Amino acid sequence: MHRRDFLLASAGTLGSLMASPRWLAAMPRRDGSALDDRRLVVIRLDGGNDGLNTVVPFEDDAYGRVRPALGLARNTLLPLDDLNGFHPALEHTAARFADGGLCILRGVGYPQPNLSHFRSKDIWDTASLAQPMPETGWLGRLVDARLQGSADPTAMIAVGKITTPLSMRAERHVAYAIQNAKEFVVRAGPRGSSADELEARARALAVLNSGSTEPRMAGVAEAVTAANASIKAIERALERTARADYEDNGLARSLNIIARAIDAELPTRCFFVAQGGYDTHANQAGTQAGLLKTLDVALHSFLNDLQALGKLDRTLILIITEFGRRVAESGVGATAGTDHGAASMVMLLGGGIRPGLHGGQPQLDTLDENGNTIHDVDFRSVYADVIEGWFGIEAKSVLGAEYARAGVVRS
Amino acid sequence: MKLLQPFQPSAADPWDLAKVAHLARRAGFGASGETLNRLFQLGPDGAVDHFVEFASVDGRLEAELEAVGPELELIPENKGAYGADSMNRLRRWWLYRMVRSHQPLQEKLALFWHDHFACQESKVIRTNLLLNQNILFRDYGAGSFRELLRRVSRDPAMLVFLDNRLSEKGSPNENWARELLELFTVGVDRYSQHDITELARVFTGWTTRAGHVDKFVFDPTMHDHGDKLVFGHKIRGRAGADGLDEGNEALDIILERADCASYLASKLVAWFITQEPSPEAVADLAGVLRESDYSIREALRTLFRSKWFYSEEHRFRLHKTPVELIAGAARALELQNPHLAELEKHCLRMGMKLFEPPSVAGWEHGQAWVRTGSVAPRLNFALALSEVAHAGRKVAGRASLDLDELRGHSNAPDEDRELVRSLAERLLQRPLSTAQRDAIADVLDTSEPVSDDPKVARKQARARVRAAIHLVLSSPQFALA
Repeated sequence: MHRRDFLLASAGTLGSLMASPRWLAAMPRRDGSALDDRRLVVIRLDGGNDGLNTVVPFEDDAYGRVRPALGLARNTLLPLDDLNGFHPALEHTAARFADGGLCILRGVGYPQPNLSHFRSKDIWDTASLAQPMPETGWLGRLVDARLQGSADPTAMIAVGKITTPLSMRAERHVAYAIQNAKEFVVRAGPRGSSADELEARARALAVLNSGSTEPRMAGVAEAVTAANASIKAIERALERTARADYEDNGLARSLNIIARAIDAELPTRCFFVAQGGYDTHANQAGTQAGLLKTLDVALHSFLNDLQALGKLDRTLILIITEFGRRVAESGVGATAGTDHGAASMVMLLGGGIRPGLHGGQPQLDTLDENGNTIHDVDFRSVYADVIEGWFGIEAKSVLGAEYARAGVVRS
Repeated sequence: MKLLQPFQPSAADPWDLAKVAHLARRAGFGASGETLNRLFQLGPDGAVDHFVEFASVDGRLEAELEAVGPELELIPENKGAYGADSMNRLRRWWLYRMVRSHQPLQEKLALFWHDHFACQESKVIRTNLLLNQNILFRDYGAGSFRELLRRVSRDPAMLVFLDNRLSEKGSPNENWARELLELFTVGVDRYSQHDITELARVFTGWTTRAGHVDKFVFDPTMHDHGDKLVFGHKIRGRAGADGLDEGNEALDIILERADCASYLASKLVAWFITQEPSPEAVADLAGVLRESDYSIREALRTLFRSKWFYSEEHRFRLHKTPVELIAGAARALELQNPHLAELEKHCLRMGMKLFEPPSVAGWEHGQAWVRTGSVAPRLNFALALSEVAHAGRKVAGRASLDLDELRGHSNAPDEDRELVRSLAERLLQRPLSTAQRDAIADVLDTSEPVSDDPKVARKQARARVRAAIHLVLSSPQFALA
């Protein structure tokens, strides 16, 4: 009790003080099925990653024509098959592809593509084009359906930001946000306080944050209660040691936190992390290469870590982006970039995937009225695959409509 | 005008301190005690004018900043400065202003515009560009949105952030044109993709001077001087220096759109009144904006004078941003030397790194500020502020609180309860519940018995004030404005 970072929850007696009915059912009710420890990690490449320069159709003459400045030379690409090569920054990921550990699906999008980052993210998050948009997200509905009768505050965890994505909004569950590995422990009192003083303050913090019926105040208090209920479990998880070296950047640190949570077997079903910066209207060549390199190395650490922990085959990693980029370049020479586009690609790694390069070649001569590639696969078909193949739930109950499964996740 | 009728005090609905406090929380960073009384004396119209009629320069604040010395020294002469040190100075400088300004609405509006025209340090890089943009928001933030928009369109930080400085004929860059419509003026989907590509052509050549990225320049050689069609209006293409006029014309066309006034009105209502703006209030405010040539000052005057603004349903219903939380607490406690209290670090921990909003859409507001991830940083800020050194007056070289002054001079038998009551009034302007008051009183009770040694007793009393500050700031009430 004399530690400096006193946890509100460290005294058992506080549990009842902190308890609001919503959080009382603390542990998820396990259904005992083999699907119980399956986890999904969603990585979103924020800003719209240029799929055309990620998986390059080097045999297509049109590619060189539409990308005079940004086009990647064939001899720099990492071979995927006879027609396509990976961006040279994706070295480890390419090796994984060769070993049958990566699934790529191209031509993913949705009808009447919206070129706003924010509207498009909302569409991906809610899995709906409806306006006004649904109040819940696809991951939230998935977790609500998967964990019947329970509401664990760590069922969904978003890492790297103070807030949680719309995709994780749910009716029964509240997603947990971990900004970084340092800022989630509450100090109950000043350094040098006695154990009794700390205990008294922790108790007061608990009472202060309970009992209000006014919705706004209750909302603030609920977050305190939820955070409090999970602080110890998360701290224990973060004390575990990584089995791989991670670089020192936001994405790598976030994936490290996720691996620790998986290692500690927190009851988390879905994790979310975003890597920003892909909105490359200008100076794309250097920017995208840097971002993909960071992604490649962070993924490599994360996958090695999970592998060493024996958790890789129980973890599915889904990499998405809100849209691809315009086929034609904007600007010229070294500062060239691309404007917002439509169809792009998703990648899947870990357990349950059907490895390989899926989807047709991009049709660079058949673009939509805005000069963007036209999607072949609705992104909700990918979600349907994840929901049914990985989590064993009827996809329609989460997506609200039937979507043919994309065939990238095994049943 | 249907909803925003002026508030008329009556016996049933008088001008009272609760309304003044509401005004001060929304138009500023809160007020209590003497300040509140002074505002009350001004009456409803006078109090609103006190906030909205600010001068372009807060002379007393500028003089104070001059005197602060090297810790706040910006990089006015060093145009090449960038990176954590110079940016943290800029953050401290702005937070200092928010804590000490005599015209808080000026700073709050600057924050509103920073959130609206959100630019990120990570891409703009140069500190002086962001400083200049911040000054722009302070100088023009309450004037006509038309003037502000024109200036933002030429603002080097924006030209860098949304890549327009690289946009040239033949392959224009849509980044600025898109966000200009989607986020800055008419709102998402209130335009066609064609409008965006045409606008992008209009703004080709709006760039920065070679080698002087802090200077706007129109470069006719980069400009596409063909005709354009924006929202159905033909803009005649112009060669040479006249090409610049096309952009001004395009901005006027955009400002004529009814969607533009509505979008701006809804953002102002969301920022100052409620996260769920009613269509009637937005329509009323859009009308004020249109009739006043987009005067932000007149729009805010109408809002803050309205009966609707003061209605009970709006009180304590906005989630404070971390900046408001920090500036509000520091002002209420009269924190001295706020630039030495690491406020910018707490702001960052709570998820609001100034000059680095999460995207061009600014920060996510409302409930987003009180989710699980913000709990520890918020409660730890409350504790840290309560631990600031005690000093009876301002002393150089450290942040301080006058704990004796905050304790008050009550000799009531129930001194602790009086302390909690007065701190709640100062920090929250509304009472704590009985259970909350008792919980804090319990903490104060468990402190050691009062010493006979007056020096020790004074120290004990201050420790109790610290505990009370920590806990009052940790109440859910404090997270709301």
